[in-house]
Amino acid sequence: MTVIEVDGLHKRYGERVAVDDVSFDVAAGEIFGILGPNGAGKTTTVECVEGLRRPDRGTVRVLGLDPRADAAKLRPRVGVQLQESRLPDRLKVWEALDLYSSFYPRPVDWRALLDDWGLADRRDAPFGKLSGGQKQRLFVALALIGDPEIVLLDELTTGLDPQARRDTWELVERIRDAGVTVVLVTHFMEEAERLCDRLMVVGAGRVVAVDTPEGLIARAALAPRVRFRCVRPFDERLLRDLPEVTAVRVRGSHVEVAGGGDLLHAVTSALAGNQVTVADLRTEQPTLDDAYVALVGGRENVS
Amino acid sequence: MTRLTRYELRLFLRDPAAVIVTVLLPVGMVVFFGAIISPADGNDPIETFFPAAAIALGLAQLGMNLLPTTLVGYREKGILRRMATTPIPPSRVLGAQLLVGSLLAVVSMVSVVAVGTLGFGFDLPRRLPAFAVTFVLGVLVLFAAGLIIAAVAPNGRVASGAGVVLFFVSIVFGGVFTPAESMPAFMRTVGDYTPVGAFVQATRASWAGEWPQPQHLAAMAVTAVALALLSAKMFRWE
Repeated sequence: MTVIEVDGLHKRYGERVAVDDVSFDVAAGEIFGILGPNGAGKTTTVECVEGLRRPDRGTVRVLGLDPRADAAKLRPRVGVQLQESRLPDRLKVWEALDLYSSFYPRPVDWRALLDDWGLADRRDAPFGKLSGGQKQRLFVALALIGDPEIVLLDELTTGLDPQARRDTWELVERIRDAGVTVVLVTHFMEEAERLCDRLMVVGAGRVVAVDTPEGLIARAALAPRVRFRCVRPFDERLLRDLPEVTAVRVRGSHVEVAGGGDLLHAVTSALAGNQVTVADLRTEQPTLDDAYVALVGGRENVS
Repeated sequence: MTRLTRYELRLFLRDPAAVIVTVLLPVGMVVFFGAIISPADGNDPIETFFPAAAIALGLAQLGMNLLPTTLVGYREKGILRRMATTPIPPSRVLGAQLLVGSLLAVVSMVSVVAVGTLGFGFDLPRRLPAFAVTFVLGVLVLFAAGLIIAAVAPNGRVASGAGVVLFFVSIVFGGVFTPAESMPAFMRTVGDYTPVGAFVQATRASWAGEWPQPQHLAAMAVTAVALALLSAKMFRWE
């Protein structure tokens, strides 16, 4: 079942085109990622889905409803975490949850959310005293307080340290496991690869590709690689002449070999047969990162 | 009272500076001057000056300082935007703020009157209906001034700066620093048309037992409506 349908979405701010003909569908129960560099139109796209912005052209349907015309019907069913949103510094964690639960017709018990999101021991802490990770967990809890069918999370883990980011991923998976559809806006490849069932890659306001992370990697048709360090220099033709090898790159003692088939076996046999001693040998499968660079063109700066 | 209003009130009371400038300072003013002039008897017009000026001080702080900085802060922090994604529209936050502000205005005014009359022998306002009408108009016009600051100011710094400037100009021309009768004529004339000046003059009149001059009530009413309409047109939620 499709819960979000976006078709031919256009949005411009003055002269600048933020979103240019973006179309995608989100199925019930999946984690759908919107991935792209800063300024690619990710946030504008979700803001149109949230009903905060009016598209210049195109249609947006969420749970079969129009996010602006049917806002009153839709808002109780969609939870939102906005990029760069805060709360009053003196509002306590439990008060924020209690307050937001009063906005919804059928709120979940906020005490359970406190426990679920590891905020129980920060129950009485004012918002201004929370760490970045705790703030984000509180915002996710607030997004879930109305018992939504869909949650939209915009740059959930930006600004978090790596540990807090990983902890947050587990929580996002738990949302999905509870049957809630998740739309996740991110510019972290690793996050998208780890969490998303399907991904839309956007660049400069346009859709580059929509696929599963594996599908995107396959689509980029990237070769696996073998890397190692050579203790002494060797004739690289040794590897170049192998049928499995498509490319060899040597930088100092670091060697990177790309190719297909049983690349690792071919490389190690050739090296061993010629008494070349190597260290730190490992194979690398192409990641979403590589696929992204291949698909978007590598011009854009992505962390 | 909705939960939103309750929390807005709680947040207000958690800000010591807000409570000081809106309630404690005005009360302190009648205490200080009450102790100095001991207004137990007599009909010196100066006796209506101190309590009226004290109430005006609290109202002006609420309307020109706290209301706009809070609202602009909420807008800057994305709190109003976040509300827009819930079933409750962000205009409710504004409503709650106005409600909390009105409540604090009443608390401040009642405290000033009670402390002044019970503690220091100031007269009660002699013409209560006139006093009440003036007070309501004063709240409306000063809150409308706060809303227009909140509507126009691009950020919190500008909002609090504009609020402070407007506040000082208002109390200087409005006869809060010095009684209007000892101000130069041109300043009094300007003051008569400013919200704070009109409020102080009308309050003093009602305190002394007269009906305020229509021009003072009209100045407040017209300014309140004009600013409210303008701010409703210009207010940005994000």
